[in-house]
Amino acid sequence: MSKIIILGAGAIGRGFLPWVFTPDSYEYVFVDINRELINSLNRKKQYKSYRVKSGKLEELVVPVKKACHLSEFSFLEHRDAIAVFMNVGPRNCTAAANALEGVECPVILCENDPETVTAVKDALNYEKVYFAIPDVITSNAASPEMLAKEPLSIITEDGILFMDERVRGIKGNAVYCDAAELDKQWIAKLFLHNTPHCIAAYLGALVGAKYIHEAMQLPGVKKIVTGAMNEMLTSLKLKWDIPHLFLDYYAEKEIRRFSCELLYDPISRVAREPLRKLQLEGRLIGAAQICLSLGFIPNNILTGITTALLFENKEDLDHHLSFIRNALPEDVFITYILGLRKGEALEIAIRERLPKILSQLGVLTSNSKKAVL
Amino acid sequence: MKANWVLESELALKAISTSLSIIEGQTPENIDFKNKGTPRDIVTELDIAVEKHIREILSSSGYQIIGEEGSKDNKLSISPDKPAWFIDPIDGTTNFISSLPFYAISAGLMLDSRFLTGAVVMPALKEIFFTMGDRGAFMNGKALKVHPASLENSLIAASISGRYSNKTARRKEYDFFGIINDKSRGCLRTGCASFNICYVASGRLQCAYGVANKLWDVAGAFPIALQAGCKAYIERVKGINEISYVVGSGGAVDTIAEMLREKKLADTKLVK
Repeated sequence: MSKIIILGAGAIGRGFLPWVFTPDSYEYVFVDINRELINSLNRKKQYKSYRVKSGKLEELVVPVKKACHLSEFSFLEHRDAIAVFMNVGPRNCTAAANALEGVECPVILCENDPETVTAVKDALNYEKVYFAIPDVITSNAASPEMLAKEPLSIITEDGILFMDERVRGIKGNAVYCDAAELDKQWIAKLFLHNTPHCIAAYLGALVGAKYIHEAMQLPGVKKIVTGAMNEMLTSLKLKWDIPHLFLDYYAEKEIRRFSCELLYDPISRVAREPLRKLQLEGRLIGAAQICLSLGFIPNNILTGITTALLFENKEDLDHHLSFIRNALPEDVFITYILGLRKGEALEIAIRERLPKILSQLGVLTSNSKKAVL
Repeated sequence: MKANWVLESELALKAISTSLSIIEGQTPENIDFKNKGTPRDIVTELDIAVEKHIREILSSSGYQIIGEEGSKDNKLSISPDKPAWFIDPIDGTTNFISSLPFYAISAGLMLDSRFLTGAVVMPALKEIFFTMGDRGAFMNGKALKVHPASLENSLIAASISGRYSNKTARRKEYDFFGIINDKSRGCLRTGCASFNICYVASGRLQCAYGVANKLWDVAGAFPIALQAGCKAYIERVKGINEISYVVGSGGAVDTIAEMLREKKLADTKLVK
């Protein structure tokens, strides 16, 4: 049995990775900042991860070797580990890396941002840090019935983990690929998964839905999400030399995923940290910039940007978004918070179209809330 | 006394951000300015217009407002048990009329010597700093959190007037500046105290100190640094509109505070 350290015992860490690196070959040490979760994992010594495959749920019992709070974890006590998987959220990588002082094995980042690799390398002053792309949706929860029976239950799709071929020595059900293939997978994930997925979440939050599949059942939401997907599909085909068949397959697969009723993917998870999702090169602003650079106005993505700005969750790391929105004049918000230059195409598009989008969202909300409730 | 100051934070942020439209597009060639006593102490028509605008917005709070352009002497008449706003319409006016980007619009709320909330905007740098009550400090929406640094690993900024009529005091200030410059990665004089402090809060400088600064120079920026996790030492004399301080992110701040005391430049005490 080989030991792996899983930093971040959330959706990817606890739900998905044990299906890739299975319990018959690996033992798991989980590290997290959720004290309650750590205590439960240590007390129960195991939990169940469910995988959606061909419309049915498969069950995997995951034994827990040990669970530690991040503040109490030291890699030096786990020198026999053959890999560390980090799945803590891009903003938390540098802080989490501090717990890895003295690390000697590969550190694999399953984060939604390739720049985290450089940040962790710098923080650790260590080169063996690699990017991996989990092409999967994993809920950090499960259905209310499952959770009532077993609170640690978690549901994942039958996804694929794309890993850097330099770490193919860590044997598992992953796909090991070269830099070009990783780039292709990342572009597809960023713009054909992340962009429409978060738009579905922000629209869902606006209409009061709890799970992504609930939001996707509303025709008004599905129309905007599919529209955003098509805008990105058009852009990617024009901008990158990626086979169109692959892109079409990817887009279809994603729309199916968002509608999957077995996943119970919480909107609060997908919509979290809206300011991070609104960063310049990211899945919303970055996506809209690509469309504009190719000569068309992405109306559905602009609607998505607006819904992200309207997101409110007092528990969220970016809970201050509504405070900023209330205090700043619109033009200052667009320039200082979104980072757009006055007079650039996206700044003009947002400013000019905002009133119309807001009124459309008003109609969508009042129609849809009734349906959700 | 209430626990957080979120509404006041929102008001401060609103006041400074809406004043941006007054200075936007203005260039030094188009601006009238005059000396307030020395060649370095300058006021422009924009300082006056911005202060008027900020005063109008902050007046809805009902708290006393003290602003650079509306106050004539160094005496300070405020109640120790009521909050008061301190505003600097353009901190770094000389930089502004010289087309240097180190200037800021700043507003902060104080209660006696306590920094409650503040907001600072740097128009040329497109950076806006603010607190949200007692719930954190932010730059352009991103949460700020500082990391500790020792004096030798710190880039430092000083706000010293260097125009003491007392020659001994003046020499002491410059000698001290030289010592800090030698013991650290360098010591800057940017001419904008709120810039110095906000840049410490955002981790680009590691420490800032000031001797006999005006309260309106620092009242907007200080709460931001404190909520970003900075440590600070201050010296205030009641009834006088001045403050000496050291604010920073680690060992450097303790060392400089100690050195200021040793050199008898400022008897700063730790802010709790």
